Amino acid sequence: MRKIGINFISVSGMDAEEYVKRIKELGFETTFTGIYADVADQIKMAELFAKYGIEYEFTHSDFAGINNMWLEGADGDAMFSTLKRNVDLTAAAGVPATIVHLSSGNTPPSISDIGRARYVELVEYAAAKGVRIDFENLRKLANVAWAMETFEDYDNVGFCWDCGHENCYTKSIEFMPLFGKRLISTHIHDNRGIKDGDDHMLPFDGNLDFDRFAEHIKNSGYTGSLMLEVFKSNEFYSNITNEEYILRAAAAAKKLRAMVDGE
Amino acid sequence: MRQIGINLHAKRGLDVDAYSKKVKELGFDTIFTGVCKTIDEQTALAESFSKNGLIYENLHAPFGHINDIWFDCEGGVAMLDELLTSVDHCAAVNAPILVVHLSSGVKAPQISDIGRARFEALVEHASKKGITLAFENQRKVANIAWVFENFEDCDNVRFCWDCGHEACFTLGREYIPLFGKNLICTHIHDNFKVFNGDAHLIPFDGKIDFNRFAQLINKYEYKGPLTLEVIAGNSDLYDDISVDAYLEKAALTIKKLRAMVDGE
Repeated sequence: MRKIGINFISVSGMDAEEYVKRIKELGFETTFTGIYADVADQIKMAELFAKYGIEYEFTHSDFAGINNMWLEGADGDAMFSTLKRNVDLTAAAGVPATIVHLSSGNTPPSISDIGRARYVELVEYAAAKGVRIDFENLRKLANVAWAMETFEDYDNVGFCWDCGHENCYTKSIEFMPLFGKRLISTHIHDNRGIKDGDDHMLPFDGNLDFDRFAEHIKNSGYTGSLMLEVFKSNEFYSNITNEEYILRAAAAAKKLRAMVDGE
Repeated sequence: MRQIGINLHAKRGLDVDAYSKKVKELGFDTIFTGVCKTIDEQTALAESFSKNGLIYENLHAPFGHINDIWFDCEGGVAMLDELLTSVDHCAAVNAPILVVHLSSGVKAPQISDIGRARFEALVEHASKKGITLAFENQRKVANIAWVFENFEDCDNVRFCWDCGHEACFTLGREYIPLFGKNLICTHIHDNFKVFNGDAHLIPFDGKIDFNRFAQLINKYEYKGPLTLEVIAGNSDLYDDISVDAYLEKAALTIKKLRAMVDGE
C-alpha cells in the first residue's frame, strides 16, 4: 500500500515525540521537516523519526530571500550558501532529498545567467552529497519548466507537486501534464481557491478538485507517498483540538489514498 | 463568419498573383508570408494580395539561426537585426502581426541575460511600430512561458498556436490551456504525431485530433482566423496532385474545420 505522510509539525503546543508517536499510530509512515539551525538538531529529528519507524522522506529547504538567487550581489550569494548548507544538513541527517523553491511572490526576477549558474552548481553539489533536489511549483511556470528542461538528464532532480499552490497561485495551469513524469514528491493541502490564499488546509476542507488530483497521480505513474503539508494554525481549525486535527488529517490522507489507488 | 487563411506558396507552381487569385476564389480571406529581402518585394506581395481581396494577416519572422539570439555572439546581433527588420516590414505592408520563434531544435539554448535584453528590445521596437509579436510554440515550454511572464503587461506580446508542432514536437503537451488567453493567430497543419515529424500536412491527412482542436479554440474563445500553414513539399503525399487540386483540398478541409469550431 502506498505510504501516507504528514509534515512535522502540523500542530502547535504538542511535544515532538508525542506527535511522532501519534502520527505513527494513526498510520502515517513518512514525514518531512524544515532545516534546523544546528546539524545536531537535524540529526536528532532523524533519530526521533527512526525510533518510531517513520521515514524522514525529505527536508524543506529555506526559501526566505529565494528571489535573490536570480540576482547578482551579496544577497544572492548568501541565499546560495544557505541552500548549500541545507543540502549539507539534509545529507548529515541521512535524508535523501530536499525541496527547493525557485521564486517567491507574483513578480519574481526573470531567469538570469547568475541564477542559472547557481542552481546548476547547487544541483551538482547535492549530487556529490547524494541528495536529490525536488523543485516545487509556486506562482510561475517558466522557472520550473527551466529546471525540468535543464536537469532533464540529472538523476538527482525531480518535481515536487504542490497541489495547493496550483489551486491558489496558478489556477489556469496544471503542472502534472507538464512534469508528471518527473514527479518524485508531493505537498498535499487544500484551500478555497482564492488567488494567493495559500491556506494549507486539510484535503476536502477547501475546494480543490481531488478527483482530478487522483487522476493526475494515476496518469503519471507516480508510486511514492502522499505527503500532507498542512497547518492547524488556520482559523478554520480553531475550535478543534490537536488530537481531533490529527485524526482528521489521517482520515483525509487515507481517503485520498483510496481515491488514488482504490480501497 | 470566421476568416480562414493560408500561407503563400503552400505548393509551388503558381506565381504570386495567380496563387492569390486562386486562394481568394476558394474562399480564403487571409494570407501570410515570410519576410522578403527588401521592403519593395514585401510591398509587391502586399499589393498583389490587396488586388485579389486578401488580408495580409501576418509575416513569419526568419528563424534560421534563432538560437543565436540567446548567445553573446555576432550571430545573435545579426538575428536581432533580422527580427527588427521584420517588424519594419510588417509596418510597411500593414501586416499587424509578426510570428516569432524562440528557439530551434531539441537542445535549444537557455534563457540568458543577453537573449532577454534582445527580446525586450524587439518588443519595445514592435510596440513603437504598432506591431504585435506572436510567439509560436516549438519544443520547449520554459522559453515561451518566460515570454508571457516577462511581457505580461505588454499588449503587443501574444501567442501563435501551432497545433502541428504541438503534436510532433511535444507529444502529450497542450499549450492552449497554458497560453490560450493570449492566442492571436494560428498555424494549422497535420502530421502523424511522430516525434520531430513536422510534415505540415493538410488537416485530416495525419493523426491530429481536430475535435480537440475545435474544443480548445472554443473554450478559450479565440475568434480570429483559422490559418493553414501547410507545405506540400514536406511529404510525398501530394506529389501527384496539381497545385489547384492541392489548394482546393486545403480549402475544403479548413472549411470543414471552421464548421467544427463554429458550427455549420
